Amino acid sequence: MLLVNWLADTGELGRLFRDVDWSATELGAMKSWSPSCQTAVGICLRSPVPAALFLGRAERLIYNDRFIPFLPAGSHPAALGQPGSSASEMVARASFATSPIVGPDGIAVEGKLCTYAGMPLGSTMDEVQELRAAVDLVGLGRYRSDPLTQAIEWDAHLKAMWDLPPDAPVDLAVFLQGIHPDDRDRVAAALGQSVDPAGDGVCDIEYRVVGVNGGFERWVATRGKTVFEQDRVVSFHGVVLDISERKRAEQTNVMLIAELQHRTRNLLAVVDGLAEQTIASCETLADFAVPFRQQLATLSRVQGLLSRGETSPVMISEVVKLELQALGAKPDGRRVIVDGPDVPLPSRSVQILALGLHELATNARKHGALAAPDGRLSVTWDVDDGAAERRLVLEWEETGVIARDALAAERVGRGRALIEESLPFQLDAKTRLEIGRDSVRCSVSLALE
Amino acid sequence: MTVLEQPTPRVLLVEDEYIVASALSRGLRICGAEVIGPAATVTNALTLIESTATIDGALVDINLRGVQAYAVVDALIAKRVPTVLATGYEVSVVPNRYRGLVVLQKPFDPVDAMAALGLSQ
Repeated sequence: MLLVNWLADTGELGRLFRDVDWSATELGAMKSWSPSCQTAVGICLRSPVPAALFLGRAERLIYNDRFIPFLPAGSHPAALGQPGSSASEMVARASFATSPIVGPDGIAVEGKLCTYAGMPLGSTMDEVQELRAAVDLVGLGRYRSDPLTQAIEWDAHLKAMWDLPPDAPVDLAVFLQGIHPDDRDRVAAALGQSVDPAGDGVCDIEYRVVGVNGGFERWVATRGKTVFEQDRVVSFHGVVLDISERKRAEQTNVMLIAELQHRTRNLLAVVDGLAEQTIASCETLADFAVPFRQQLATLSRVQGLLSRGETSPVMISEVVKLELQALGAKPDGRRVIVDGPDVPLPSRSVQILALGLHELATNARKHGALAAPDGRLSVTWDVDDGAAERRLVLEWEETGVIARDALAAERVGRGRALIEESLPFQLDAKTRLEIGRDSVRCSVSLALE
Repeated sequence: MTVLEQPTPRVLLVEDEYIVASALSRGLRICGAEVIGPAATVTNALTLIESTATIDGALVDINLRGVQAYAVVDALIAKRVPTVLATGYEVSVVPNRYRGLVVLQKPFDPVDAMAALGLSQ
């Protein structure tokens, strides 16, 4: 007595099962099978784990979709309904739980149902396939060694890491030969430790591989596991991963941090020097605070510009405008004129140039064009493609300055050293500063590298 | 017994950052030194070493405009000039063969530089 659609939702094998001409076998037409056999067929086909059913004296094979990987390669779907000797062997080797199919009399055994019991539900072969995919995706090399026979097995990927062809034989000497000479002792020690039954058997180490021909250097990470049985090593196996990219990134980080530290210390030395210089030009502590803070603010603005990195160089217009705006002088095309082409500055020139411009702007604010009602400031520059090298030529011009007294002239003079000495010293620039009774002119010419 | 007046020690300063070089020059002078330089490049420093008869000590930043200044250090060692190195990097960047030299990490006090040169007065 069969239910309608009793083979619904039984997958590919359910459809194939229906199409087999069972009447041509000693089992006879399907309808004549005992209820226990029919129930067993349903359980087998719907089993969430690999399952195989062996029916009758000939042990004819019925199996579900998940069992396919357990069949000898290429034997699906022809194996369905055939005497299942090879499948029976496979089942005997792997972890299958076998239950007899007992007939209506409760005595006769009509067959056996074998269900996979080796792994958690829903994993089994899927998990093996997934692991294989993961190994391929990450590019792991695999190895295994047998301590009894001393045989070492490597997969082709691992051999490639050692610069070996896929069919090359591997032994301990070849393994060590491909390792960077400076790392060999360390690797050998780690391996020795991992086969010590007193330890955890894990070998987790990073080292350099140069290949058996010594033609390159790559970093690898390996994780191996020794299996012990009663304190005796029975196997050692593991995986190797190429981590050269990560190591390069780490090395770059170390270099960047060292460079940052260098810049920070240099900056502190500059702050120290500026404090020293400002103290020398001040009579009281109150005189010190304002110019010193303003210089720190200039350094801070410069850091902001330079932190953009090498890919976006600092433009001369940015430095000029920032230093003018910091003192409230906005380029308006009339009293304050800023004009020149886009010129990227060599990064090492930015800080000292900004400090020089700050000095000029501060003087203009206190005693020069920015302090006079009719004062006019023009900052213009151009590129001189002359003989040997490209140079930036910058002209700072203040006119309409209130005729200055001797004291003001002296104050302006204090900033002169920075402008006239610093740029030639640090950048091999040429500078010329002329302070007239009612005008200030400064020209700077520096190489653009 | 007459006390002989100690001659002013002549110290070569090699440093490429103007603000730092000028502050150090002032500091060294306050410590009683006569400053030779400052030199901002390897070439300038070598010229000064060549053309100066007596140098009692040298203070050398090991990185000048992105160029290592060991050629300067070698020239000073060849002339047996007591030399102190200065750097913004870790002291460990100094090659082993210069490990005998004092390395000062920036920023530092000119007084310490003079002491390291054995020129404290």
